[in-house]
Amino acid sequence: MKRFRASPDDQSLSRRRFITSAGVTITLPLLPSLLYSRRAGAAACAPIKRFLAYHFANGHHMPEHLPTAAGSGAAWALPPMLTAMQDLKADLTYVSGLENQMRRRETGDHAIGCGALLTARKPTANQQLTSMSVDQAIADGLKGCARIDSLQLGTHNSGPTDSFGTYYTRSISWRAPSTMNADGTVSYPAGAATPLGKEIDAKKAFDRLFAGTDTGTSTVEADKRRALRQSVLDAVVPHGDWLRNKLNTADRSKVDELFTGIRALEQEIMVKPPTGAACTPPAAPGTGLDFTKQLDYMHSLMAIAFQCDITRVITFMMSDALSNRNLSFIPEVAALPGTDSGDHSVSHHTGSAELVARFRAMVLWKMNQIAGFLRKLKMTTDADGQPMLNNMLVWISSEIADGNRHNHDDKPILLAGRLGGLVTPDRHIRFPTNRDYTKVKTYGDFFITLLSLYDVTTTAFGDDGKEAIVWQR
Amino acid sequence: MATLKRIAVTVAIALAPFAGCTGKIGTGTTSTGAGVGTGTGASVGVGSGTAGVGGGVSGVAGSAVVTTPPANAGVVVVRRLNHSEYNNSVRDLLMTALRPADSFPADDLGAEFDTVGSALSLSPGYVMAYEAAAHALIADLYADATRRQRVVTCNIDTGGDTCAQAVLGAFARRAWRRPVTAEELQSLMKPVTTARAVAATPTEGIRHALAAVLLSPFFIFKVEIDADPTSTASRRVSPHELATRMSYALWSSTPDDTLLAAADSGQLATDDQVSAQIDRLLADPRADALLDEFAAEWLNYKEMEQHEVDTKLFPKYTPALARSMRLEARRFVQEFLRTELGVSEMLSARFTFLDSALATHYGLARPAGGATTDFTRVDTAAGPRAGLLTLGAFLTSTSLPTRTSPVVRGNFIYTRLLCGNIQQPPPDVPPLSEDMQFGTLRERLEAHRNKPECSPCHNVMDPLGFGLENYDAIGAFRTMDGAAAVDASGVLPDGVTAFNGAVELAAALSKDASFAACLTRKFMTFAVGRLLNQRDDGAWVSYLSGRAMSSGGSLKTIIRTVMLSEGFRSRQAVPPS
Repeated sequence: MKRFRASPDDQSLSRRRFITSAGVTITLPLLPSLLYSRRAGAAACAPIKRFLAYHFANGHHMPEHLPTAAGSGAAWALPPMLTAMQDLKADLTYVSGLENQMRRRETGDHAIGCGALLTARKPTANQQLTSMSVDQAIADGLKGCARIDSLQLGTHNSGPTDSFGTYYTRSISWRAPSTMNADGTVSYPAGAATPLGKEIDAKKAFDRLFAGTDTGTSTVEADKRRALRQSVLDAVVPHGDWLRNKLNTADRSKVDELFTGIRALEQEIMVKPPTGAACTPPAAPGTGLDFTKQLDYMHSLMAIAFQCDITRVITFMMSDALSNRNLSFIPEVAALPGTDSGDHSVSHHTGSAELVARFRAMVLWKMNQIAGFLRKLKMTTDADGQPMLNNMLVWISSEIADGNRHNHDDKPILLAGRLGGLVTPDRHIRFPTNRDYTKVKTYGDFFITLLSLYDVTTTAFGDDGKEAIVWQR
Repeated sequence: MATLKRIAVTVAIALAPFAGCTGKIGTGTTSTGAGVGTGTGASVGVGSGTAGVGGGVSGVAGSAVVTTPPANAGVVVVRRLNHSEYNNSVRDLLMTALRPADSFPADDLGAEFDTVGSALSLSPGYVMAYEAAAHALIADLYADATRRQRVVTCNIDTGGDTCAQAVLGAFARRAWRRPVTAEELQSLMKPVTTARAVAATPTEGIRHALAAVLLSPFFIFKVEIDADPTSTASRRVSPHELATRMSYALWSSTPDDTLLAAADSGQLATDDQVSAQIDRLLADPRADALLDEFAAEWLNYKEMEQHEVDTKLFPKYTPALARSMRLEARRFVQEFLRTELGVSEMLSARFTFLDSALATHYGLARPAGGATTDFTRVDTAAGPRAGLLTLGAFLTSTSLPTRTSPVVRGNFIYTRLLCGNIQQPPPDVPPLSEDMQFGTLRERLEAHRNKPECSPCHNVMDPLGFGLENYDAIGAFRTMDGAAAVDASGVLPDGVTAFNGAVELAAALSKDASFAACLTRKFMTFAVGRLLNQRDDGAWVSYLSGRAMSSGGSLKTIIRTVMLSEGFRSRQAVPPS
């Protein structure tokens, strides 16, 4: 396990430390704990490992969003845009220098960046064709550990955007083909894919997670209800079997999406609600929440969904990619000169001092919201008595690197949490950037590494993930 | 939030330079036209004509109209019901007031329409919502004895399986829009037998079986089955498949008993039979779905109430005014469904329909009488307004929260109303700080347009948008923009036709056949539910719009022409190679 050991003196950018080691990918399957063994029973579900991908829209203010030095502990300092997270620094890992997509000189940046965010694959314009997103690969690895394999939440659904189709700016979670290989590795080829539409309504999300727990119902009555509910699915399942033989491939994959959902329903029906979970469902949300309140509620809901162990994997979009939400409600924005308050339009500040100031204030506000959420996770006690942040990784990024430049190279990832000690935080890991794409580390490489932390072994991911990265020595 | 997002994109257009703009317009398919990719051309896709710089807006008119129907009907991916179609279908099946789909996850859009099969997908969360909706709908049915007895037509406690099968067979036939086989009926009995096995009541059994009808792919998808899924030949869809296509195209809902009966009895085969049904469906109030779905998505007023306006700068803008704007646009288009007016008048019409609040907002006199909330026809011949371009909904939804955007407006006219093709701005654009620090918006954008990488597209879009600068970001008339007098003069992309202001711009555009061809393309996309980017699609648009225009050119004529064609009545299983 030496890959994941702390290395507090890791301050330089030496090639030795960041080299991609072919040896790692070869030796990984030999380590018993890293075998893809999720179906081995309860053991795979403990210790608890959680994953949360948190997306925010329209990129960073990169001139002030990149730490000046790499290293750990006192060797690195938070950049100005992350000031709000000062008290959380010991839980943060900052990863920079990674490339998300080899695209250069192409159009549709927000959609491409968002479509590639967790898939590391360039989206196919106007077609739902990509490969599995990393959160879904993790969810497959943790399948059956919780009532809901994965949860997708957000705050709005935006309309038509550009030539890529709304699904690439509204969704970051994608189901796509996967193959379990004989050697225990998993492959994620590109193919017909399903964007996992997110829940944006706080009340609906609450209902899905907490309603119908039927605490007052007798066991007999509950069993009867379960049997009847199941019988509805049993009635419908043959319809899929009949259709499957009669449809062409494109139609079949659409109809199959229904039956993938029906299988998930069966799982949810059959898993009996856990007794005595160390959590208290939150109060149902009010109606007509404004954006800030909606965001707060979703943050609480995610923490409690984890605490009740209803799910292990969540993806969250603070706003959809390319969102032009009016952010004039932010006091720091309102106090500045100028009037443009569109999230996206201000991000294209073109260097104008007035707009840069407004964009800065917007990004600071977003980071402040995320800081509050991370604090909540840190203060929440997980089912095993640990601070929740210790059991998980929160993966935080945006669809583009710099909001104004619209670039995808050197797009940072902020990680929070320790994942049961597999990750040693309070460090900035910087990979060397290069215009030569063969010389950079990619999001795909990073995702291979990330998956290994969740005991999922793969040798390729997305367009450009080829090998795990030695990122903690 | 649709409007919000659309602005987001176009802001990028406003701020980023263009390169390689092809300026394609009209009936073009994706990449076949000569001249595509020249960086300056405005090429006409069909017929191979290349109009050169500035030729875009007369694209279709300048090319030969296709006069024979193309051979390939086109491939459509199986379509599931979208939100509106689900809500309307359960309304018509169950007489329910519930609108379960309002809380389903969002439908994705193909082009700007939510009827495109390839873009519509189902996540597990969506399927969970379906299950909850099915149970809620049946519970709601049972809450009202009158409605329940329309569906549950026999006594389930005493009638046994015979009663259950009768109920389920009749309901499934309506919900699945076709006759039901014995095998299918047998599958639906599963909850009935389960209820017996677990000592639940027969009512619980039939309730769950009815829910299963609504969870079946035969309800959720508009299934079309080919005898040979490997054949590339076009084939007529079956009578029931056609009935489904027709009712969802015109009603966004399930076929009624009359239409199903016509399909049952083979009375949906000849042109006359289909035509008579089209007329019947169009005359039904449910055809208002064309205004709330097709036109609302095409003209971008569906989400009008979600459009963001900075109310500190525009205190007159209220949710009520936004709603009035949506209803004005809806009522305006409705006039074209009620009459045989030519669609070119959608651009040039010197009338609109206003409630009292909008009349005040526009500064127009509204005839006395009626309630203040009625939308009354107002003659705009005296006022500076004409057609779609000066609708409040259009002017507002194409503005930024704080100001107008001539680029967004011009882009919308060019791409959405004329079906021209504007590329997204390239990535890695250099900052334009030097551009953005001086002069009026028009001066800055004109400087921007002088850049070679910007001009091909902005020369097309911006003048169209500047023609509408007499209307502010919430559609009110103005002659001053801040301290500067508005200059609303410009030249069409043909480089010749000069105009000054919206009325002249609209009149000039209304003489161009591109608009009718574009409308034809949009309706066909919506009605068939596929992106028109296949081999024969440019020819389909040219052929159908040519036919419609030579038969009067009304909106209803376009709808009839599309729906009577094999482009609507036929399908292909797999793409022609």
